[in-house]
Amino acid sequence: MDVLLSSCRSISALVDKDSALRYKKQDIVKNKPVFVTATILALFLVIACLPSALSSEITTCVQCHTSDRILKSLYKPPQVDTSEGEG
Amino acid sequence: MYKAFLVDRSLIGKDIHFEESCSSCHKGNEKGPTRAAAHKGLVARPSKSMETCEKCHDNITKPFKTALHYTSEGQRHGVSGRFSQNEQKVFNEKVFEQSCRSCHASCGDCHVKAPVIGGVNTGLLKGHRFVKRDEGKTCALCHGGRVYPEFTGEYGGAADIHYQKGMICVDCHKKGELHGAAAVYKFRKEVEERPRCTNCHKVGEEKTELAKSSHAQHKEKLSCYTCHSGGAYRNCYDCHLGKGAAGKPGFILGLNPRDKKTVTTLRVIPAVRDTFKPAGIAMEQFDRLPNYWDTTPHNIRKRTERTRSCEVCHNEKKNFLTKDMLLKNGSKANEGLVYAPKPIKK
Repeated sequence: MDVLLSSCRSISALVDKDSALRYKKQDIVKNKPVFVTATILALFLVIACLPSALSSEITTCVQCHTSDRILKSLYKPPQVDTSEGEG
Repeated sequence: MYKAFLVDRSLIGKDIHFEESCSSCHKGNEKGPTRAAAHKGLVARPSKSMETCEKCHDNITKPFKTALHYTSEGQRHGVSGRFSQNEQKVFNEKVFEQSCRSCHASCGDCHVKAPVIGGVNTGLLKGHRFVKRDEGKTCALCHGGRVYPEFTGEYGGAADIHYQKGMICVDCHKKGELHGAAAVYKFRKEVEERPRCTNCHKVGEEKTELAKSSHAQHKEKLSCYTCHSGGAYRNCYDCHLGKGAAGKPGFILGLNPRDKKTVTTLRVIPAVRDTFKPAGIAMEQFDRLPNYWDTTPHNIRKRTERTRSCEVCHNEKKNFLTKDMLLKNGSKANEGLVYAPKPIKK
């Protein structure tokens, strides 16, 4: 996610009119290959990272069993049988 | 108590056991939106059948399948002598698997999650880490009725000297004993790998001449605990298929039912004539076995009243089993354990 954001920021900086490195129309045309490459790279990173980023969130085992708050809300104290004992 | 079921998230990605998904061991439904849905088909103790652990640890699971901790065979052996052939069959089918063997230890019971005892579930040992040992949360639970509290002094007497010196269960009961061996044992006294006092305390290397001569005089006549058990330990009476057992402190000396040439500490075991009556077992041969068994109290002290004075045993005959002390309606075999030491001149 951080990579995507930084990629987006890099791309937006290229077209930002207030940026110190302002590009005129002819500069954008001149740097079109760079712009396209950066966009493709960003998309590739998002596609590559998205499944693993999402998969850990989908597993309810990990979601519940690593969350103090969720486990506390689900826990029910057991009925204790006092007759049983072991050696 | 819910905290005991919290898994340490940092293990995911680090611990090799977490390389596969949770459901690879626990089954269930990882994508279930509710607790009930996620737990449908859940296997709470995946190591119960050992197939799970066997994938990588077959060098341990193979001998463990016949180890007493897994088979609980010692419990069956201890009581079977009282059954007729038919009763043995009923016991095997209706009682042993459902009642006695429900306690058998799986891999996870010692290495992942504390066993559930009497409905009390203390949960994961350390956030679902696979730990080598944690006696206070494993041994202490299953053996918390007798051995462990005697060992730590919680039962009321002095703690075992080994505990005071910083030793704990696995320091003596090593993995060779617990994980099992090639041999198949029927009860714990048979186990070759079991701890022996003489493993560390060599005869002939005693620090005082008195100790050397006492040991020489009583050699093969007394067990070590006869003199070195620190005091009363728990005796269990009146068990009726898991209910009604009563524990009382006691210190009993008598002949070893397994070796009548030696004197040892005896412990009352809870079987009575109608223990298995609800299962239709009358124990037709109840009187074949005594109600007192040789025991290894885990409350050892170097100096006790018996090591300080020969008269405590030989003249006072203190704590020795007599006919008057025998259980009412107990086994007739109890009489064979009564012993009176020879008096000595003061």
